[in-house]
Amino acid sequence: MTDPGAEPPGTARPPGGSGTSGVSGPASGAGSGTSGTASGPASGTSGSGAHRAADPRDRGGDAGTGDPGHRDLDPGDPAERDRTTGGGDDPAGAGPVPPLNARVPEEHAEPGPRPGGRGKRFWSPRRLPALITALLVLAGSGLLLYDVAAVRAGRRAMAWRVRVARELATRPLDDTWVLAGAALAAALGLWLLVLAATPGLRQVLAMRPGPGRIRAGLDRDAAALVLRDRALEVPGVQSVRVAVGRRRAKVRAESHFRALDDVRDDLDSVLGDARRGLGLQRPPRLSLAVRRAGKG
Amino acid sequence: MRTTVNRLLMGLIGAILFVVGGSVLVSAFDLPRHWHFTLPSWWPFSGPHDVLLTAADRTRYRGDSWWWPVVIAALAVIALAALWWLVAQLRTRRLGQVQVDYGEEGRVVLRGRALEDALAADAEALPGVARSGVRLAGRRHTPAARVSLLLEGHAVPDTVVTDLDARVLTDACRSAALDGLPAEVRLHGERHRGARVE
Repeated sequence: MTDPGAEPPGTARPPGGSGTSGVSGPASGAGSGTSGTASGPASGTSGSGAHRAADPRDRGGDAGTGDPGHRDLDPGDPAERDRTTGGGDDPAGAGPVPPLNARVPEEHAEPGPRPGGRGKRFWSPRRLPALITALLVLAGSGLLLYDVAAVRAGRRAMAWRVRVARELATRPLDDTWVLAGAALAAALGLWLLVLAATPGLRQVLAMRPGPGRIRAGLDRDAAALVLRDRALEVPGVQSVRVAVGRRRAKVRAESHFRALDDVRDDLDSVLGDARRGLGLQRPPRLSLAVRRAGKG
Repeated sequence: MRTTVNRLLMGLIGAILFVVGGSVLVSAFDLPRHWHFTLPSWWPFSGPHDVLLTAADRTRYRGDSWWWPVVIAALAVIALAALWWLVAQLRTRRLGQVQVDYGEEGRVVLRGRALEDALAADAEALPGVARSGVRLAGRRHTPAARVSLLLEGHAVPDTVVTDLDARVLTDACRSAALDGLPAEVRLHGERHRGARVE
């Protein structure tokens, strides 16, 4: 049992965590693109939809605007950056991080000590897939049972069963229909296996367990709203877009007055506080970009 | 419980489908010849020109007296299990009553709905909570709560959960004389406009 207060959140992550959630993308039908998003169009200047996806390419357009405030905290090729900081399995984020990124408040990550066990991930009950599977199995076995019993009682077999028996005995394996059926069965089987093995509910971030018998999960949307609201309190911040992923929270702020460095420093400390206030078992690491409003 | 059953059964059915479909594909594309490996002798298909189920295989046990009873019994078991599984998805368990024992003085039966409403009202009174919904599950003597909270702007999730635990759940345990009320809490966010400081 690890004490979450004893080490930065990066080290508390079990190995293979990234693999699991990677597989669960298609399973939950959501994928990583649906990270909790919230735009803070307080000024109405920014289009909210286009920048929501937690996609590194999304940032490529911004990086080239030559805005110093943006470049400072978000240097270089976004793909490169993702390799250095976004890998997720890098213990304590001690990898080759560009020096200015040190200001991104990862050292604020000290979660307040809360006794109790680890906050486990929420597992979806998978009701709908189970319902559909059960329905199909029931229909198939019921129909066959009825027909077998009917034949035993002296009636004629239904036409479909005669036909299926004939096709099974005559079509070779490399027949198109057989191939298509086999491929479909294998794909469905694989999908069911993935559904059965992955937790799903990627929208829910597990919170640190408290002293009582309470188990809490915070929606990524809610976490994004909390961060956005706090960021908007910083003087000089005109609008904020926050996208909270399972590992990383991207905050992009536009400032319309004050020096960008000052705004960024304030945002750093405010968001560090807010991030601790989320009470998450593994708080997502923050990546912060501040730029001047009206550019790019 | 239901989560475990669902995942076990889906895994089982998935594995069967995957193995059957995959083995047909292996033989259909004649992979052993192309990739130079040999299949074990019990492999059901001999090559791409084999069929899925020959008439001889299908009728092999038809003469035996045990065959049809076994087939019918197996199909019936599968169909009944599927029916039970299906019904389990549709049922939502909700605790109707909570029983409070006062030893010699007797016992009190509390309507689950009343406790749910009380918990929800208490939770909504917490700072930072806009709305809340509570469902009780579990058993009469050991209920468990599922709480869903809608956060207001400027709520601190950590504090909200701590408050919920310290005030609402503890109070409920005391007033209903429960040993403890395990709770699963989901915090949702309410979309709202951000207030900007000029």
